[in-house]
Amino acid sequence: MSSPAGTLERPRAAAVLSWPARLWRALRFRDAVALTAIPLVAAALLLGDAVWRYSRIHQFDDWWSRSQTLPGTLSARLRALLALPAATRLRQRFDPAARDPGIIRLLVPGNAWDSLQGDPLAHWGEWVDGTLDYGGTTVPVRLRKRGDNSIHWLTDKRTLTIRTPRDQFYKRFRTFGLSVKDVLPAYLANRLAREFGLLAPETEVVPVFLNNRYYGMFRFIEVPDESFLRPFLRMPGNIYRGDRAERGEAYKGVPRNLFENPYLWDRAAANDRWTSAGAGQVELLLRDLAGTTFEDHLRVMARLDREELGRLFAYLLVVGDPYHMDGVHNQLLYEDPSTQRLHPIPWDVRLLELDRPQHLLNDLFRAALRDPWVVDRVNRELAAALRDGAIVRVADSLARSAEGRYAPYFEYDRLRAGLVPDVGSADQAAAVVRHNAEWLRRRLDDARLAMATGSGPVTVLDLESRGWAGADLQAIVLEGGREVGTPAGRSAAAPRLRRDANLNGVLDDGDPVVPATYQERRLVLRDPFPLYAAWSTEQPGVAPGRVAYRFFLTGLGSARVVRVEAANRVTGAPAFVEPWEPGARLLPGSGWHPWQYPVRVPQVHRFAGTVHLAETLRIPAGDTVRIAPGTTFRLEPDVSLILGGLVLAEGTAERPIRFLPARRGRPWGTVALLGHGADHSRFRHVEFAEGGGALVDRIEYIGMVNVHRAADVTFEDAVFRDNVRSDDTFHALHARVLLRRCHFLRANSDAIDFDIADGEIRDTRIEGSGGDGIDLMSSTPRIVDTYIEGSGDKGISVGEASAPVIFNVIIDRCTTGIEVKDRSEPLILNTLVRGSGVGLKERSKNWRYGGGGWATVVNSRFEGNRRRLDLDPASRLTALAVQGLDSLTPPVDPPPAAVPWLYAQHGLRPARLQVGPVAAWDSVPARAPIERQRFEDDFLDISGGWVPGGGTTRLEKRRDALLMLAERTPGTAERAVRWDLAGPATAVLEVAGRDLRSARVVFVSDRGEIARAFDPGDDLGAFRFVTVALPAGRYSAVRLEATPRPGLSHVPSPSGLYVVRAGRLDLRTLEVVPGGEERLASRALPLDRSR
Amino acid sequence: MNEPPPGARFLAWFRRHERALTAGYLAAAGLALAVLAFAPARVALLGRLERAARWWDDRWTRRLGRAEALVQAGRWDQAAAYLERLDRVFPAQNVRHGRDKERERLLELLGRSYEAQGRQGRAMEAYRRLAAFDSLNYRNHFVEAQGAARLLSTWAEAPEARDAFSRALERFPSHLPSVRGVVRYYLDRGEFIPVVQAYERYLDAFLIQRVTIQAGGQTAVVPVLIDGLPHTVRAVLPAPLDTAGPLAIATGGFPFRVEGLLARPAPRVGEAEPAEPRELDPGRWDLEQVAAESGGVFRPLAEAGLIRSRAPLPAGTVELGLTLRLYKPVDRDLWAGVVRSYRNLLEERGLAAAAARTAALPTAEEADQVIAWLVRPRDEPVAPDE
Repeated sequence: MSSPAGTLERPRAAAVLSWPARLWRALRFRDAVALTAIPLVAAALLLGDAVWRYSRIHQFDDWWSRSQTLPGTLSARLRALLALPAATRLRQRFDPAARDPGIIRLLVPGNAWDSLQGDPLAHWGEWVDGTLDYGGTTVPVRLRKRGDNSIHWLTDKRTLTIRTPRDQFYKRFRTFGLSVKDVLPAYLANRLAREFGLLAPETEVVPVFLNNRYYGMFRFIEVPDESFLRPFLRMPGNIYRGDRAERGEAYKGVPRNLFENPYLWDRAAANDRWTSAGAGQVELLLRDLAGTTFEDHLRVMARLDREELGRLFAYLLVVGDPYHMDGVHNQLLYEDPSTQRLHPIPWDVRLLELDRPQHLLNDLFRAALRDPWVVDRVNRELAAALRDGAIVRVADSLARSAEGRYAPYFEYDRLRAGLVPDVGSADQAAAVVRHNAEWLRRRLDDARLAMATGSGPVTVLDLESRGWAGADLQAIVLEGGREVGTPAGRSAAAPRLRRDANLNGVLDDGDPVVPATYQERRLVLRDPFPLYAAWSTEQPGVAPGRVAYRFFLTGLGSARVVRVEAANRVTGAPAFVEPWEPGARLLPGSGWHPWQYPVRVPQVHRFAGTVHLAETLRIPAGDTVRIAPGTTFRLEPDVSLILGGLVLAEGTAERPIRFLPARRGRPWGTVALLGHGADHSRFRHVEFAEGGGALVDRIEYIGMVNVHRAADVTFEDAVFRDNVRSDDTFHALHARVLLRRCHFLRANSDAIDFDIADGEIRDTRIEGSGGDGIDLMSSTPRIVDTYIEGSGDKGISVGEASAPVIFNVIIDRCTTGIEVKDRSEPLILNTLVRGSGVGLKERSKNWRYGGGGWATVVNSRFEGNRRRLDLDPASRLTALAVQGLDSLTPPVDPPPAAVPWLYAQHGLRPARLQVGPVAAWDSVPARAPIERQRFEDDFLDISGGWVPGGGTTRLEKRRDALLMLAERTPGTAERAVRWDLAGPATAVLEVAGRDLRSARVVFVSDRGEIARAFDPGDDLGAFRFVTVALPAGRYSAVRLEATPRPGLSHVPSPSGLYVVRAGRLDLRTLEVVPGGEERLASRALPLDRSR
Repeated sequence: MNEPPPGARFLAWFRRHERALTAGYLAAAGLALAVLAFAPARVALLGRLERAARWWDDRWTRRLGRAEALVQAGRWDQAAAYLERLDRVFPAQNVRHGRDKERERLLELLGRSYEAQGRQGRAMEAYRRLAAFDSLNYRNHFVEAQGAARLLSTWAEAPEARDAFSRALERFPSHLPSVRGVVRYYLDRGEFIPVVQAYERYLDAFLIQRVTIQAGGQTAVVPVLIDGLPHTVRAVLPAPLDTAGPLAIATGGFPFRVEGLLARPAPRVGEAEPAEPRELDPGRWDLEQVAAESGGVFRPLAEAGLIRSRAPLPAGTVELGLTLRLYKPVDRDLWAGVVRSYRNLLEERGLAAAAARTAALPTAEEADQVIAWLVRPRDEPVAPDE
């Protein structure tokens, strides 16, 4: 029996088809094709594109291309397709004109870019023209492909090298790379090098826009060359480069280890002085490195700096990559010409987990790590870096701030992962550093010693360091036998500890006693005796090694050694001492034995009477040289004194000490103080005459008298005269020197040459120099009460970013009075320049410094000079109360300016306010400003914390000033401050303007606003001071207000039309100094810009 | 009765089976998409595609192999024509390409084919292109130099050959065949100063060989400069010798001389016994694939040639101090030319100094073989593991 429902439903099902059935019945073949076309075509396109890309990648066979697979390529495309909507939304938020100093906008003609981008094999080494915009600045640049393997040129984001013109840098860089590889991890790994005080190229993460479309996140890398050395205050020198890993760089068919083949090296910067060994230095290093004896090792280490190596290895261990600077690439060695030492420059270091060793370290690193002092230094550096998690915090902060700053950009690149190289993440990067830090911390706790003792009247005590960290031996504990001896030294029977210093295995007379005290069966060492650790590099990575120390105990009687007490050299915790089975043979140590190194007992060298030197005398560091009054050195031709120790040459007015040639007319070499062993050396009533400079041990001494890398060396009442052949009479290099009451006569070229040096030149006369009276490079001495006359070139040459204080100096009848070059910033006070060819000259000479000079001249006088001022367009001048630099006839004679704050900053207080030299002045303690802001174009805040407002159209740090443009309507720039002034203070601004109707500065405090209007002038090369007295109070903001001149100034635009030129205000300095001063707004006189 | 046109028949057939065809098409499309969506199937498919892509890419190797066969068969006309075509389409236009070595081989074969055809200009052009293709490869310059020497020399060696030999030497100053080329060039012209200069540059050229020291089953490998000068070498054995045993020295085929031998024993733990190095007289040596020459010089006859001391090293030895002299290979003909040059320049002192640094081998082939051992393909660039 069927149900009624069943009978009802059956006819309905027959008459009305279900919708799938109806769909199936209606479906035609063409509909099926149409329905499936889109997914099938999409799949086919994806697959085809992936195959094509794979084939393209497979053309190359480097590490990256070999790791690429077709499934991986396809998956990357699929993922990117799925992420396309999110990526598009993100991309729409990107603003190439955002106020961020890191954003780089590249504009490259489309066809040129397409040709560069299209064929990965074409156009290598070819430059393409374009422009680089950042902020409101446009720099013409050239671009080219960069990279040593295919990750750099096969993905949708390409690695580039960019170069600017010589006269227009991008920030302080002329050539830099934009790398796509491991952006964030590589940034962190390489950025950390600076935390260890290493010579390391600048690196940043930057978003790059190409032709106004977002191109990707890149790692900005400074390319090392001579300019790279400048921020580190290093002399220009050779930078040797070994980078021969990949095709296009590799020398096929020859030994490819960089440390076995000097012909693989080239130079990233070349020192072409004749004294330089040039490329030969690498061969010298490699010869020593190939040596296997201890003497070879000593020669290798003499070329390196142990302290720096300590920091380098500590850094490489923290980032986990002592490997990538290997035997085939990533080698950069800077040769310091002042010491001939080589300084490794970290390059392309990765972020790796340290507990996964990769391969053997390079030969140079392995040789250095055989030195126990280097290992000990590394441990100390590591301990300092790991203390309280310091380096982990720094790494975390660096990674997260970089990622946070550009979070959307990173996110976008992650959405297209696989199409572009992985950009990494801050979490992962910081985690690697944390992991390495933890691993290293455990290693530093590992101070292990093995101990074995012999028997007999002379007991052998063998200790072997087996841990990562060394140990300090503190005491030896005895037991058994009768109570022996009394405190050491009082009884012959007391136990004594001697060490096998000559490593011959037996006790002999040459084995010294280790000072110790014996009490209660413990032989306590007077000072902890270091048992340095050795590391093994025989296997990949770095592991604890072994080094054995043999001691002899005498006077024990029947007592025996039961244990030793030692402490971890790094942590101070007790060292672990394990037994060592006697009778076995000692295994060879992993490094050189610390006792092999020569130990020198300091000596005192005394000289008196007439000393005839027929060959160069070298005094090592640690020794002392005492020269008696009346001593006369007679030096044979080219004979020199190279003094590494303290020198006390204190003559008297009646009995001066003299350095003279042994043969008239034949110059001797040099008297040179070399290294910090010569710190605090003193020369008084000394005469140096007719020396000629020298080249000793491949170090060039360009002065008759030289001070290299020594501090606080004093010359008083000294006469320097008639040097021949050498460029300088006196040369200070990386030194701090005080020259007082000295007299320089007839210098062959420059009388005093300071290179990267400071100190003071005071009460000194310089007469008849063939070149400059004083020549400064990257130096900051104080030159006071000095008279310079008749210099064949400049009275004072201030070059290469020098910043001296020149006070109360008279420069008379020189070719040029004062010349200021290459971003030098001298402060010239109460100085007189007269009768010279040019009074003051400012210019850009060396393009690497990126600008001209910028002198601040106050209360000074220029008179009787044939040309008053010679200022090139790259240079600027801040002048106040200066007579003789203006273009007026006769020159305006200004009243002296009361600027006690300026004098006080440099510890000066003139007795009388006047323009020109003063008769008397006092030396007072230097008074630092409460606040000082200057501006450097860098990757940090684009405007140094100042915020634009009103009609301000541009506000950026450019050319050492804050540049503010206001167009049509008044503009402001405001900065929040937190000054709690307990007493009156003075705000000092250094400003210049152009096309401005008015300007004023406003200080906002809890008591209201203090405003001060000033005339900004109309010459951007001429700056002036504006001071504002600030009463005590709590200040919260400072604001600059600039009103542009209405519509009068027009300039042609690229379109051919004339556009309104914005009013511009440049702020060089904002300072707040203690003490209220009278209002000062220096009036800028029209400068005499004659050429 | 007229036959319907084939199109109409097909249409009729299609209409009749359209539903089945649609079902089949949809199933195939679904399957294709499913294959892509289903990971194991996708991986298998892509794996096959990957192999196919590689096979397709390897056609260049196969084609170069065919060209090589033509050259070896001496079918120069066919070889040249084939290589010309291959040259035009060969993908490695730049040394960064993975087939860079194949491109170098191609250009060399092309040059040889042209040379065999007597087309000297084209042959030299091919050799020049080879040198330009990877200018860092000394072999390319050497091939060019040899080509120039064969094709451009008249009564004396061509200056083009000298220049190319010099470029090869800039990249590999110890390349003896190139040194020979330069020396021959100047000797032919009777210019003896450059001969002496070239030879002294060769002697001074920085070259290191890893010398293998064996004793008691233990091995130490130490780098030694090959410049004909005595070098003191410290070889530390991994562990002290348990028992006395002979010392073996292998220099990888370079002629050498042993001028001194010190052995330092390792002291025993906890025992005071002397650990100072002692001078040893190894007495006579057993030679394995080594010939003894006058003046105590040993000349390996194979790369593995070694000498073994008859007197054993004492038990406990852990460190050896050797004074070794390794000589750069020179053949007797070349050395005779150099001697003549020194003598013609009346440089007897220079000759004596050079002679002390020279151990001449009987033939050029033997001498060249020594350098070839040093720079076998194991030294070819291998991208570092990132």
